[in-house]
This record gives sequence, C-alpha cells and structure tokens, in this order.
Amino acid sequence: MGKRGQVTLFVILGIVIVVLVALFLIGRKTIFMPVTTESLEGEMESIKEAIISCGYDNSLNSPNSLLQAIGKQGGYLETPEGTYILYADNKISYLCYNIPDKESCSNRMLTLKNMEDQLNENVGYFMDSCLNEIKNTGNLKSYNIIVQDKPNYQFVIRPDSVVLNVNWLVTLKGKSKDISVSEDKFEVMFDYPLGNLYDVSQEVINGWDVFSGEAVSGNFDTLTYMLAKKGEYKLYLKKPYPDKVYTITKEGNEYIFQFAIQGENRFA
Amino acid sequence: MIMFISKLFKISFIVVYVMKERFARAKALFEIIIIIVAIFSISLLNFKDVKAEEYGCCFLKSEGSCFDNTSKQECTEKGGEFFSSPDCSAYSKCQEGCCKIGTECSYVNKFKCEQTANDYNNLDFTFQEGTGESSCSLSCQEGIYGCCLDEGCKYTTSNSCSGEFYENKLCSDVGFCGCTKNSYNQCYEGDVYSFDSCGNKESLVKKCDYQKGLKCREEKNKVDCYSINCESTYKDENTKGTGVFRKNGESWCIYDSATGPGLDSVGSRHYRHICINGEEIEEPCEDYRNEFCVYADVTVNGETFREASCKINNYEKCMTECNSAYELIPMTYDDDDLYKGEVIDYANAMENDLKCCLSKNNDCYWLPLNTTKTEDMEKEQLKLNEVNGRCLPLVVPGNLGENSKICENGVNSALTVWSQDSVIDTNDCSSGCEAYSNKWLQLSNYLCNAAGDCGAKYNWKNEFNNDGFSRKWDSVIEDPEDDFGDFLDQYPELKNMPLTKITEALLLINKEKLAELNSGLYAGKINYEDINKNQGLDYNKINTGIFTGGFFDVSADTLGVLGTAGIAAAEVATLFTGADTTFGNILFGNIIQAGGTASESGGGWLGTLFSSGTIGTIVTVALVVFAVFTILNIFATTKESRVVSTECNMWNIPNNGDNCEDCGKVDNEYGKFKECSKYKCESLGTLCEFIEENAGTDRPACVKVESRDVSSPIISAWPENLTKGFKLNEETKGYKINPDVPAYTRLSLGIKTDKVAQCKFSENVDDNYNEMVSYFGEGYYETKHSLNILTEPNKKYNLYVRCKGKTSNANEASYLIRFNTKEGPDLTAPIIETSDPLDGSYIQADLTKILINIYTNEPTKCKYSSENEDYDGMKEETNCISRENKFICSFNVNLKFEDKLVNYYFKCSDNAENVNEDAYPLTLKQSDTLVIEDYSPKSGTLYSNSFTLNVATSGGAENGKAICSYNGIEFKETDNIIHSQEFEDLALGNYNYNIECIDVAGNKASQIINLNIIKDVYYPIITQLYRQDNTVHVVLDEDADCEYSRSDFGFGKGTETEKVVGEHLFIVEGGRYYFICNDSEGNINPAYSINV
Repeated sequence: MGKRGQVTLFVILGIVIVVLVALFLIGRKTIFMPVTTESLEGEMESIKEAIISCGYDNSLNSPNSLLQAIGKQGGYLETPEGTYILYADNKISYLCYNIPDKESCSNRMLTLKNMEDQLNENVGYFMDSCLNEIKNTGNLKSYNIIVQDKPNYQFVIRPDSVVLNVNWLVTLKGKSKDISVSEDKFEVMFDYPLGNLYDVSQEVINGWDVFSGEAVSGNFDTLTYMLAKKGEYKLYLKKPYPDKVYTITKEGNEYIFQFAIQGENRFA
Repeated sequence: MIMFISKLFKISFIVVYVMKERFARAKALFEIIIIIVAIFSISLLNFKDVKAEEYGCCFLKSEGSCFDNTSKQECTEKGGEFFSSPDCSAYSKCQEGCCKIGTECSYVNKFKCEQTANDYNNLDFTFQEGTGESSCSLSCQEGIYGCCLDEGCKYTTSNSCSGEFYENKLCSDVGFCGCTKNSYNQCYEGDVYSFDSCGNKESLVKKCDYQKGLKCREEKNKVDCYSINCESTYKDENTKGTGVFRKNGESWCIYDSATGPGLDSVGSRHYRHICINGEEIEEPCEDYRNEFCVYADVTVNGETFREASCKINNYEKCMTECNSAYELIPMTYDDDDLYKGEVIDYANAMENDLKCCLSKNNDCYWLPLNTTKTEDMEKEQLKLNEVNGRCLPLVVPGNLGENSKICENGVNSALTVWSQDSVIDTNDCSSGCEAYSNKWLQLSNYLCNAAGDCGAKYNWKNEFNNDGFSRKWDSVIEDPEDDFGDFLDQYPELKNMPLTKITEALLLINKEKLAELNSGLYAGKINYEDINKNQGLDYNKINTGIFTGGFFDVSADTLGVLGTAGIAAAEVATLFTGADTTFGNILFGNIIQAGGTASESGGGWLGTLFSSGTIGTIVTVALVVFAVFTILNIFATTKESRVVSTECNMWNIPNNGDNCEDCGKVDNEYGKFKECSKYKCESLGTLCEFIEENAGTDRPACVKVESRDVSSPIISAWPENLTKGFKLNEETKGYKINPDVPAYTRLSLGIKTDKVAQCKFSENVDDNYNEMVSYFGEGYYETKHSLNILTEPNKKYNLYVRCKGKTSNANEASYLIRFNTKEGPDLTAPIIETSDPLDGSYIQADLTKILINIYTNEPTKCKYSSENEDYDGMKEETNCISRENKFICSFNVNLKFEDKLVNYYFKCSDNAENVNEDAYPLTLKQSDTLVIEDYSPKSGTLYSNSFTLNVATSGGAENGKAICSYNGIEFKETDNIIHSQEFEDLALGNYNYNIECIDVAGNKASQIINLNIIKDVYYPIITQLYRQDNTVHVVLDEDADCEYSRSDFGFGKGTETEKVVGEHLFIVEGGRYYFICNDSEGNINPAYSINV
C-alpha cells in the first residue's frame, strides 16, 4: 500500500474511533449501566435536592425570597397605600393602627394562617417554572420523568421553622426496563423561626395596646422582655415620627421579622 | 358652629322684641325658631362620636389566637368571637396554660396548643391550666430521662419514647448505641453542657449565671461562659458618664444637648441605650421631645444597675393651666396701692398653680421666685412671696416648623411706673424699671426658651439665632440716663437705650454653660424592693417639686420623687444664687413691690404762710413762692403705667444648608446611632431637606437643596462601577463601553450626579423624563446610580439617561451610554416558564373563548396546536411582547371541549431559531354551572331570632365546592359544598341576605333571602297524628318539647315524649291522653285531648 493509502486508512480509523467513543458516551447509561430500583431511588434523591434548591433560590417569588419579604414587610406581601411605613427600604406593614385621640391602637389581627395563605398564593408562579425545568432533565437519561397533575404547595409556619410541602406525583420510569419509583410529597424546610417571631410581635402589640404606651403598669418594655427571655430574642425599636418600627430576631438566626405600630401626629 | 347657633338664638330674641305688641304670636314664633335651631343643631352633631367604634378582645378559634384591642367590625369580618374588654387575659378561652407537645413546652392557650400539635403531624399533647410560664418550662424538664432506641439513640423522657427505653441511662452508657461519652461541649439554654458523639446532651459542665452577665458562647472553637456585659460603650460628647462599662441589662440615657427647663436645643432628641447580650442597642425616644429620657440607679442585692426609660412628655398644661395666676396681674397702675384683697387672690391663684405644676399627670418644673423677706412686707405679701413661682415644662417641647402658637406661652410682660415728681422734672421711671435691664431681657428670653423651640437659642449643632425673641415697651424713652437715674447703680447699662434683642454674649445660659449641664435627667437612687417588681420603675412617680437651694440639687434619696431628689447637674443652681434677692422682682415682682410705693406730698405748710417781719416778709415771700410752687407741683405730678413686654416667636432656622450632611452621622464600632430625622434635619438650615425614602438606610437622609435652583443635575460617568474587564470612553454627553459585551451577561453600569437626583433611562431618544418607565438603579434620590443589565445577543445598546433633582427640572438633553453585544451563540431553546391559566385549571362554565398567555424567558415566536406535533406543523403563531423583563405570548383560543377537557400544546422558537423539542402541555377543564342547590331558612317569616343560615352548592368546577358570602361577608363555614353562618339574638325586623357563591373557575351563583323576624307568639300545632301499634306519633308545625299524661296537667308536670326524627312518640294503652307542647319562645298549647 502506498503512503497515500496508509494515511487514508489511519484517517478512517481515527474517525471510527471517535464515533465509537461518542456512541459510548451517549449510550453508556442505557447500554452499560442498566436501570435498577436503587439507581432510580438515587435519581429521586437528586430530584428532591433539585426541588429543595428551587426552594432556596433567591429569584423573585421563590419560596425563599417570599419568606424574606414577608418577614421584612410585617407579615404582608401586598402593601396597599396607607397600610405601611417605608423605612430602611422596606414597606413595613402596620400591625396596629392609630385610633385618633386614643392612646391605644387598633389591632390589625395578622394571623399565621394569613401569612401561610399569602405564601401559598404567590409561590406557584416561580415554583411551577422551576419544577418544569426539573421535569425536563430526564431527556438524556435512562429513565423518563413522568409527572401528573399540577403541583400543590402548602406552607406551614412552625415556631422554629417554615416548611413548604410540595404535593407533586413524580414517577421515574426506566426506559428499557419496567421499573419505576414514585414520590408524591416533597418537603423543603427553612430554618426561619417565623412562628416564634410572630408570637413575639403579638406580645408587643398586645402589651402596647392595652397599656397605651404610658409608663404605668404593664407597659411593654423591650429590655424587660429581652432579659426575661435571657436574650433569646432581640428587639430593635426605632421611632420614625410618629410611628414605631420593631425588628425582631432570634439568637443564632439571621432571619428578621419587622412590623410597625402607627402613631398619631400631634401636629396634624 | 357654636357661634352660629348663638347668633340664631340672638336673632330669635330680636324677633320677639320687635313683635312685642303681638305677644302671643311672637311667643309662638319664638318657640318655632327654638325648635328649628334645635333640630338644625342636632343634625349637625357628629354621630360618629355618639356611636364610637367598639374595641375589645377577639378570639380566633381556628388559630387559637387572642388579639387585644381589636375593633368589633374587624373581629366579626374575620369570623372571630368578640369580647368587650380590650384585655384578652380576662377571658377563659384566652387563658394561658402549659402546653406540652412531645418534650417541648410552651405557655399558650388551649386552642393554640391544639393547633400547634396539628402542625406537627398531629402529635399528642397535654394542656394544664393554672401554671406559670417558668414552672411550665421546668415541667418539660421533669420526667424520667433515659436513652431511647428508636431509629437511632436519643436521650429523652420515657413519655416521648416509642422504642426501647433505658431508664436513667445515658446513651453513651448503652453499648450498642456506639456513642462516645463527653465527645464535645455545646451551649444549651445559656449553660455549657457536654454532648456525646451521637448528639445527645449529657451533663452540665458549667452554669453561666445570666444575672451576673455570663452566657454560654462558642468563641475560637471554645465553648465557655463568656461575659455578655458591654465592656465599653459609645462615648457621647453631649452626655456625661457615657463610654463606660455597662452590665448586661443596664440602660442609660444619651442626649443631643443639655436638657431641662429651658435648656433643650432646637432639633435635639433623647435616646435610651441598652446593653443586652454584649450588644449596645439604641432606642430613640419619640421625636420633637414628645418623649424624654430619664434614668435612675436601682440597687438590687447590693449591686447597682442603671435603668432608663423614655417617658411621654406631658408638658401641655405647664405653661397654661398651671400659670393661670399671671392672668391676674394688672397691666395698668392704679393710683391706690393694690388692694390687699387682690394680693390674696393672686396668692391663692399661685398656690393652685403650684399644685397643678406638681401634679403627677404633668411633667413640669416649678421655678420658685421667692424674694428676700423685708420687714415692711405685709401679711398678704408674705404669703404671696412664699408661693411665688412659675411653672415650666421639665423638658422643652419641640415644635419647630409645626406649631408656632406654643411660643405664646413664653411671652412675658411687666408693669413699670413712670412719674413726674415736680413741674421742673420730666417723667422718670420710678418703679418696675428692672424690666428695661439686661437681666430682665435674659430671664424673659429664658422663659421664652422654656415654652418650646422659641426665642433666641441654639440648635443641636450649637448654631445661635436670636430672631425669635425681642423686647418692646410703651412710649418713647428719650434720655435713658435721666429716665433711669435712680436705677443706674444697679443696672449701669441703662445709661444707654435698653436692648430690644438679646445677643449670644448676653444669654443667661450660653453654649459653654450648656456644655457643662450634660448630666441629663436623673431620678436618684432607688431600692429594687421599693418598686413594683412586675412593672419596672414607675416613672409616673417622678415629678418636679419645690427645690431647696436651687434648681438641680441632688440632696435626697427619696423614692421616685424627682422634685425632692433633684436633677443632677447642680451647676445650674449657681446661676441664680446671685440673683436670689431680686429674681422674683426682676421677673414678676411688681405685685410684691407695688404696694410699697406711694407718692408723697408735703403737709402743714399753710400754717407758716402768713408770719410777719422783714425776715418774716422774706420768709413769707419765700413761703409764698414755695406755696405757689408746691401748689403747682400738686397739679403737675403725674404717674403713668407703661408696659414692657416681649415677643416670643418660633426659633428662626439659619438661612443656609451648610450642615445638612451632619445629620445622622454617628457610625462607629458600637453601632449606628442618632439617626437623622425630619425635625433634626430641618433645624440645621432652611435649605436642608429630609428625604423620607432614605430614612433608616445608609444613604444621606438630609441634603442641601437649593430651593431656587431649578437647574437639572449634571450627569457624569462612574467608571468604578463598571464590570471588570470593560473600559469606558467618555464622550461629549455620555460614554461608550468597550470591548463588545458577550451575550447573556450581567453588565453593571454607573453614573454620578452633582446633586441628589432620581434617574431614568430609555432606549428611545425622544422619550422625556416623564415618559421613561425604567429607573436607572433603584429609583432613589442619591448621587451615585448603578444599573445592572442582562445583555441580549447581537444588539447595539443606546441608553438615554435623564435625571431629576428634588426641586429641579429633569435634563433636557439626555446622557447617552452606548455599548454593543457580541454575536453570541444561542443554542438554547426558549423556555416556556408558565402560563395563564395554569395547566389543569378549571374554566368557567359556558365560556367559549379564552385568552391564554404563555410566558417565556427570551424573545420568541410561539405556536400552539391541539395535537402534540412538530413546531412547523402547528398552525397558530404569535409574537411575544416584552413586559417587565418577561416575554408574554397571547393567544385567543376557541374552546372545544371533549368530555369536558381540552388539550393544547405550545412550542416556541427564538431569534436564533432554536425550537422547543417538548411541547408545553396545557389542559383545561370545563366546569359545570355552579348552582345553589338548597338553602335555609327560606324567605318568609321566622319566629326565632337565632338561626343558622345554610346554603348547599353543587356543580361548578369542583362538584359544588365554592366560597359563599352574604352581603359581602364570607360565611363562617365555607369553601366547601355546605356553607353555614350562625346568627344570634338578632333584633326583630326585616333582613335581606344577598347570597353569592363563587368557585375556583369563577362560576357564580346567587340567591336572595328575605326574612321577617317576628316574635313567635303562636303555640305549636299538631299537623299530623297517627298510631302505630301501641305508639302514638305526633308531628308539630314547629320544634317544641312535649309532654303527655292520662289526666289534664300543666306543662312541666307530665311525662316527656320521645323525640325521633321530628316526631313525638309516646306509648299508649288505650283511653284518653292529654298532650301539651312548649316551643322555644315559651308558647304552650292548651292540652290536646287524644282518644286512643
């Protein structure tokens, strides 16, 4: 064989090797790594982690950013005019409104259920899109991801954490074998003591209401409260006239809950 | 309105007078007018006051939460139970007790306990009433502890162990747990505990005494008890005693300036600082000195703690009601001495003022103005002297720019007497002339300062202005040296014309003195046992009182009475000791002195007028001349009263903006303190403007604004803010960025403005500022503006920027920022993020067409089909529009349901022709019409004023599940197929209920129910009667309790029938039976006689 022929042969050989390697890389999971229940369970764990990372994402309307917002805005995601004070770049909701010519204020009755409902109503927009991406990741794998129905989201505010329950039936089904693994409940846990901080806020408001800010019996004093709790909670009180803004944190946790109490402008 | 009504009454009287001849007719007319006026007046009454909103306690059972001081309306709307007392602790449902869930205890009410247990997947719980919070938490620590083997090894109580339990054993002692004993230390409830390698708490290593300022913490990998005291604190230049060690739990005051009667500077504020867990926290007292900071030293078990509090400043009555005596001072001189009776009246009024000033409800300071007693003082004058004084606010209220009327309380005036003693004399000042002295000017300005931000004084930056205070007097002073001759020794300055304005040098308390008066408001030393342990220091007990020895004299340790304990900063006392003898006179001494002066005229000279002899003649002539002269004098001597008064106006703000940026400047290692506020900012200059949006942030909150400056901000480049790797080349009015920017990159750009401004941008050169919709940055007013852009591929960016200052116009010409993006390889298909409506949504019944919006992440074209086919095969195409960083593709779709379902598939293609492989499926479900299946009670008459409104729905999207409301108020039980609302104790009358139900698809159903509630006065009537075997069945027309007997009887004495499914049953043997029923309104039928 002449030199030219040898070169041609080597070129063809090279091309064949490249193609074989490419085929191997593409098809190794289906050909050489058969699907098993254990492997599918492992993939399901990855999906769980992907859902958790959706939860922890910082994009607009992600669960994490909604929780941050609800804490900074005094328990409300919607802040219509007249219901908040703009302070330190946050629209901080009034949880107690001024009653003209009265020293006490009117409780707005924020409840934990209010907050849960607001979170549930707003989380779908982001989570649906994020979960949709998870659904699309099985394309080059040895299994199919089958999801049924629309996911349902349920926030539960506990004293020392917030849980997002994602009710979404996900089935991983092997492409080549009739093996499947399903999961219909996923949980994303946030280490935000929103329940505890909410309780503290209610103690502040109830104390404030009844005893009308006078230094007579029962006035809510931040220092007395913090000492009674041995510093477990820190209350920062600011007074942008004529209102009051409380920021509450729990020891060892950076999550904040802040709210405002509306005051009366003596000059108005 | 009162004036108007009184005028009406006057008019009515005039009418009567004119028509007096026709008396009877006039009388009738008058009465008619009275009635009309009365009706008119009543109609103008604000009934809002009569029927005020009711506030009380609201209990929400669903959450187990109790809310104090809630409006009844709010409570009812939220479906809560309303109690009339604002304090929820009075109600049993809100009573807190010990809730134990697992091993955790909390102090809440029973319903909340249940709710929490539900949240933790229905764990078991116990609830115990009547315990305190601390015993509750202790109870959780009780119980038998041991190692629990249940999916691992956990040290817990036996009650919460569902596995194998090893009583009184640590898990590290249980061999097969494999836990290593005392593996590491960790903090637990503030103390140091050891933990095994499995994470179980073992034993207490070290107790950290929180009371002594120790708490467990981990520092540099060591867990130990560390001090949580504040080893050093912020040192404030205006407050003595700051910057020192503070114990955990201490609080102290910090001030912007000296504080006390007449001392607080304009714009100044009080602050309370706290040391808690090693951190110094500042709590400002309310602005405008509506609150002030007062502190005391509290002794507990031999240790002293400083405690401070912000207290509401009740100053209103100090210079008004508590200074009423001054209204009695005559402002004209009477030729007679003041009557003794008037002096007594004045003394009595002054005594009342003193009581008012010392009242617990007021935060006032009584300035004693006693003079030195003299022998010629009469009894009445002595009494007055004893109580003489003036009431001032303890802390000067702030009113700058808000309420100028308050300064009127600081006006002072004095009565002076000018007399001409002889024909050759001129009118000289004879009494009260101190009112023209510098001393009087000083003290009057001090009075003005005490009223508010009034008079000649300093702001908190020690800038002085005297335009707010001046002195004036009646008549002209022609020759001061002559006019004040008798007083020149005492007041040598009266050689010259008295001053109308006060200079800084003449101030009673200048800034050097103010700087020394920086100890603040100190309430003295108090023993902890003497104060209410639950409530802290009762600052209402702190009051002002009569001082002995001067103003601020810390001389006694009496509990809480600031007056006798004094206020620290005793230096002020020395200011007045020199003036003690004349202080009262100088300010208000007319009354005491006036009685002492009297004109004197000669007497007994007539007798010597007619003596004889040359000498006698000469003497006689002299005497005659003297007599004539004296007679002339009698007619020539005059006394007139002249009033000297002051004008006390609001402090004049300096006409500049040189110090605006000094507002809110304390930022040090201890924290950010003394935040800027509107009050503080505006006191710095007329050109200082407070930017409310910047409050609480690091951006400047107080800026200099050129009020007449309408020139637009000057924009320049901010190269430091540009993303690394790029450079900007400045151009005539803008800059260009090189090199080209890769696609899908977050690029950071920046601009600066020469004054605080708000900036916007547009890609359209013709857009003016108002037409631009995008902010360059966050849209705040600041001088540096940063913008982040996610770049698109293959694009030439031209960003036209315009800015607008607070008071200036926006830029006419825009500032142009240019850059290009690279031809990036776009290999990614667009992502369809979501849709509206969402997949699986229900569609309203009988809808035939719908708008579907698809949301993508980049500019695309999209198609849809009812089959899942290739993009090219799909029919309908639409272009997507960009809105708020999203791309929306809209389709108007005709709905064709099959088996109540319709499926659509969407695919999109981007500008690089990347197409979705997988379609976005959208399934829509057709719903049925929502129907109100049934409801009760039906429209008509109701004989009971307590009933339950029930509605049943069917159809719709979810088989009848809907939310129903009546008259716009949601049913208490709804969001289901059965909806109910209870009504209790309604008043008799007509009620209309407009029931509206709506489901998730938007299907609606409505029903109107008209009820007429009348008292049920009818007894129950038998509608059906039959016998089955030996049982008689009776059916009535209404619900009732029934009895029967073999003989006639009265209700209550018979045998109760059995009630089964709306029928009354009783067993019979034959013969006659009597049957009586009683309904809920107490209507009893006459006995029915039933023959069996």
